[in-house]
Amino acid sequence: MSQQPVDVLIIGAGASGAVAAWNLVETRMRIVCLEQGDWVNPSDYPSTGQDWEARSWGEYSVSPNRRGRATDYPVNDTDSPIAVSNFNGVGGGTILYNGHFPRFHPSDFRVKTLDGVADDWPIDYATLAPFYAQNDQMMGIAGLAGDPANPPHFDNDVLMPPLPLGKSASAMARGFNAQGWHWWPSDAAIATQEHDGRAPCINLGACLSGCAQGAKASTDITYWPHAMRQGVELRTRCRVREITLDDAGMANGVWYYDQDGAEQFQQAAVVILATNGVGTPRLMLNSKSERFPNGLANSSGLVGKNLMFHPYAMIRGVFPEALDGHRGPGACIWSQEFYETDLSRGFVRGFTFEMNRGMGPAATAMLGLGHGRIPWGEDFHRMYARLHERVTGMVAICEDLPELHNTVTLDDTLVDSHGIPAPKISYTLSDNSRKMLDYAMARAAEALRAGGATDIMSEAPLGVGGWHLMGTARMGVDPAKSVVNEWGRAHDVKNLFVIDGSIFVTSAGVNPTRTIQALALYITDCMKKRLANLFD
Amino acid sequence: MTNNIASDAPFDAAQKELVAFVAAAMIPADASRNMPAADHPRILRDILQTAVAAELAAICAYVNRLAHNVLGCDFARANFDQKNELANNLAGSNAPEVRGFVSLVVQCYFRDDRVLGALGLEARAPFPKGYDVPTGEWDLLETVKRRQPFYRVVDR
Repeated sequence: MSQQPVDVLIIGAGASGAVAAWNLVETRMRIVCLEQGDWVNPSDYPSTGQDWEARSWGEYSVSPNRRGRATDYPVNDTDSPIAVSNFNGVGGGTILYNGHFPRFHPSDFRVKTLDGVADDWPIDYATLAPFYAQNDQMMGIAGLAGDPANPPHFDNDVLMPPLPLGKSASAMARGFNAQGWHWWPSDAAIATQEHDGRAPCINLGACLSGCAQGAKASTDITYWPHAMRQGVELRTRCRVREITLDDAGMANGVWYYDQDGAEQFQQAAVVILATNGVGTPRLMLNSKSERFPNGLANSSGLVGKNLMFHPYAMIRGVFPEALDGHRGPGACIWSQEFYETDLSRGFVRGFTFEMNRGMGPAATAMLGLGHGRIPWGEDFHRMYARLHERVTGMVAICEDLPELHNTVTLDDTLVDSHGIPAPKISYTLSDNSRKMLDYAMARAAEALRAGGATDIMSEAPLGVGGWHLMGTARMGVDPAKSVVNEWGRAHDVKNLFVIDGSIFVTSAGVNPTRTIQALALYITDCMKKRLANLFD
Repeated sequence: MTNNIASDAPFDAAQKELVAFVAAAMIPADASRNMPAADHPRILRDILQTAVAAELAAICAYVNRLAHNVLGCDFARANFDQKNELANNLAGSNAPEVRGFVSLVVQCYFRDDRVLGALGLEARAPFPKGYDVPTGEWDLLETVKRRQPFYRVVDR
């Protein structure tokens, strides 16, 4: 069955797809977005029930393989120490992120020039700065101006007051001060005042499984309502199988399965991919044709290559006094003391410490059991009591560098519920990343002990920590060395655009969502400016 | 009166007994803290209702395999001391079946009203009431505010 043709077809309604829909709507083009997942009802989020911890590990797990919803697709990540995390639905990964919202640094766009590794980006920080600011307005940012680790970047009319430090962040701040190290209130995509119809944060503490209060900026409640009021059509439970080409080599539409499982063809003049660093290469590799036998727009052979995660270390300290427990958003403060390259540390590039407050009782018990602090049997309760509401800590988000052998390919046998080949991840942790993780764990332990912690528990790499999926359709000016150009258009197919984390050249050492969205604004802005000659 | 039809119950009596024993071996009662054991009827019912049948079947099969290897008999035929020996083996196990079961027991235990109350926590959903979090020690930031910018400046 064939649908009425549209001008712009966006695939994916997550962090970047929502941005593109909103930013292109003023063109008055007919815009349709196909999303394989559903709308999520905030009243269904785990924090609306006393069983919130259990539900956040099950139906709201960050792992699509564990979640196993009909709207998910399976991922073969047995050949990777880091498993993919995502969410398939309107809002995408922003449904389950914690709203920690840093920007890239200017140096992140000049990695080759400054440090002699990887490649420079074809754009720079100054190019993205106005789009960062525009996105901040749409998402709503809490924070504090004046961070010495970052360029000034706040319009005070936009900024909301920072999240509370509470007892947990205060304890960690004491430790970082004792070491003479940087820390600062995190930029957070969490409303601390009413913002664009969203209520302020009330410290539910379960940000990673969806915000029932609506304080956290997921795109289902930020960009999408605005885009839809302006006429964008969003079709849910529509899973795209492949993008098709016409005889001239231009994308002319997609085949997808609708909510009833019926095969549909949607004709489109422009196709925009916004399905994250795994979903996008999967779809491109599934879109084989005579012209592109190795996958759509893949003459460079780089579709699916250079997969970057952020290898995570988790470091937690046990304090003698009660802290915040599970109360309050995880996002609170960060440290970028070790962000910029210092080769005396034994590795190139750096990382951000993202402090993430405490945890609920079940997670505390699992932590203690997993690290040998809580035994089975008669001493269970006494040892649990030593940890109860006394644990806080941080993760280190380490910059990952692109390597050709880290890939997303198509699995030979695994398929989703529509029979579409599933992605297979092959990823090896680099020596540089291993050294960075070890260094981060050692420094975090020092800071926690300086703040009063009496016991430290660490883990790296975090096996469930594949939240950030980047690099698998990289941008660049050379068609032989990149998949899309400096404004997101595929070198090989001039009406195909990619706007998600796939186009990252390097990963930086921060959460990528703010940069993904700024890039989506930048790319769609470029499209608007070139409408008359978009395909030249 | 229960709604459950006996023949439809996903777990048989032997499985329930095994589950109850292992759960209590992991988390026994502690009267001094007013903490129930994980085989308290209400918590055990939650465990059995929450469990995916395959998961519980897996832990039962694992324990029976272990019983055969260690004791030379089924779990059901083991005496009290032998069962405790099995529990010690399970406590040191990193087998996926055991890890899954531990997670299940912990999830159900730490959402029980009595357990939460004994820990000084309100037995309620976080939403819609939310929680108070103290503002914190903002004066700690003064030393950092005095620091000069230290990000790398990059020429365009």
